[in-house]
Amino acid sequence: MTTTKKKKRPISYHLVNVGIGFLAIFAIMPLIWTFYTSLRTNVDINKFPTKFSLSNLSFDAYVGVWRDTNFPLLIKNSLIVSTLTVIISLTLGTLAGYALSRSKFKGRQNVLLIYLAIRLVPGVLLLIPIYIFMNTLGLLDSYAGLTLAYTTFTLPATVWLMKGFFDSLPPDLENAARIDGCSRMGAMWRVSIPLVLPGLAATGTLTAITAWNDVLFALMLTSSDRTRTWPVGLKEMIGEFQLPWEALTATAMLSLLPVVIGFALVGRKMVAGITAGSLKD
Amino acid sequence: MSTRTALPPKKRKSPYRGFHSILEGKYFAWVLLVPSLVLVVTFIFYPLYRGIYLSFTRTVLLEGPGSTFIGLENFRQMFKDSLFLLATKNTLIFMVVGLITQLALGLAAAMLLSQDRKYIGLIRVLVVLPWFTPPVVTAYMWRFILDQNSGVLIKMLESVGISFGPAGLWSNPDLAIYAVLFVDLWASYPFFMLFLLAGIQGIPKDMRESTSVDGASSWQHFRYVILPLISPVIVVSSILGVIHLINSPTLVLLMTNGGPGDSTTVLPLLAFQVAFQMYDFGYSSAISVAVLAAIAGFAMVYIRFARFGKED
Repeated sequence: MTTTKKKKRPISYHLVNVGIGFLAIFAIMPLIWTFYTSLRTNVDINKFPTKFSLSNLSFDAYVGVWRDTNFPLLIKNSLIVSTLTVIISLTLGTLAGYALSRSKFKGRQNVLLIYLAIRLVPGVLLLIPIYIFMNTLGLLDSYAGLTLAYTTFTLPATVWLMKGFFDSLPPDLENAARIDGCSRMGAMWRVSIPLVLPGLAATGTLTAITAWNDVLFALMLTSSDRTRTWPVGLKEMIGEFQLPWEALTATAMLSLLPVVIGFALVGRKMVAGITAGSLKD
Repeated sequence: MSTRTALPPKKRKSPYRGFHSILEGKYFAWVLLVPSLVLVVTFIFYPLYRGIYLSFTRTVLLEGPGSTFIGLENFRQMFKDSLFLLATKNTLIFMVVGLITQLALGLAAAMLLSQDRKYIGLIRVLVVLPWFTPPVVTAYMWRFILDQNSGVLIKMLESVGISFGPAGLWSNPDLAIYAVLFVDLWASYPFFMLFLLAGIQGIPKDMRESTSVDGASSWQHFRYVILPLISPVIVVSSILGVIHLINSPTLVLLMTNGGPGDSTTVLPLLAFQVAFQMYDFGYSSAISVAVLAAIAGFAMVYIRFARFGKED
């Protein structure tokens, strides 16, 4: 892509490229540096000035973290809670999104508004009452308690997203199925759901990442290794053992891995979830 | 858009019975909505009500369960509490500086990323990755990069003569809050970028052609065409952004836990500490209610202000 062959570009064109390049570097460089650090030895990390070299790199820190700490257990807990959250949130959110998309019932606007207004409620205000409530229900330090909390907070985005995906389907397909004698739920299940599968995957990934990343609720609702998720576990590990940098960065990279995988698969559709419902379409 | 309702077969006797007949009837929407609404009412609206109620009570877990109604006493105590006042000041800094920097970078990024370039789709996704990065990873990664002894960025800054004193950035009570704000900028500006990018992409492309025929410069096009058109998006994203800024003590909790001293203690962090270190649930709830009131007030003023801006 040299400019010599093509027509001469104005300077502003190149300035934009520089700007875009800067944004990409700003976003990625810290993560790459952290990954690089996780492969180095402690001696190299603390030697200055930093010598950048690709020799002497190893995955030893990863092996160490996986073998010598309870990190695998924490990851298991996080996976269980995230999976449960995705299943429940997607099921309820799909049903609600479908209803809001297909039916123009009285009170529809209010329901939509409720799901929008929830985003304005500060989570901090809910921490204590939810803690007390979970205590009353006996759900403290359980997968169920954490899952319920996450499901509630991911539902609004799920509902709005799924409504959007159903809105974008042509209604004729379902009508045809109905005329052929399909029940309403049958038409939804056999016709609409298969068509919104990509959207469902993106929404599910967004939900999973939200549950996977959360710190505050996990900090409050879990108290033992039985249910503790990885962000809380990592926070404790750092407090207790003064983790060396290569172990800390290796742990960070391990926990980032599922996010990056999900992101690589459905990232483009997922980012739509952030603005869903907040802007007029 | 075409009609959204799936056409129900008219005048046909329902062959379904029981639960099925409800699903075919006119209440089918409510049947599908009830499970999620129950969850939302139980775990958001009821706790919200409880939280507001608790703020009017004395509820200290160490004094045993149960709570006494004490009216506005918690709120009165708040204004005598120097830590609360400091936290309020810090929160204001956090809110104003955070909003301005994130909105500005978000707008610039949205303008840049709305251009047609090779691989622009890939770059857009890459730029958003920090927003999805777990806060724990963000916090410890930047603690490392900005660490006084081994942080690569600190060393780079030192080599060009910028230094944060012998004790380092994180021990400097004047600078620590801006260090957290910088990290929050990295993690959160993509949120603004996404909103504004969606707004800019909603503007028809030929708009630029017609203004350039009229001889408008790029800046004039931005100032008089793009900016007015995306101002509603700016308002919406700012409100959500401020809520995010005030609402998530996560980064502060993980990076400084309020220190050095109390120089980075913000209101939600204070509420968190009062609740889970001092077990004073009543006072903590009162602080949270104050935050909620501040957010509501900000949103109202901001919407007003934005509307006035449009009329002139």
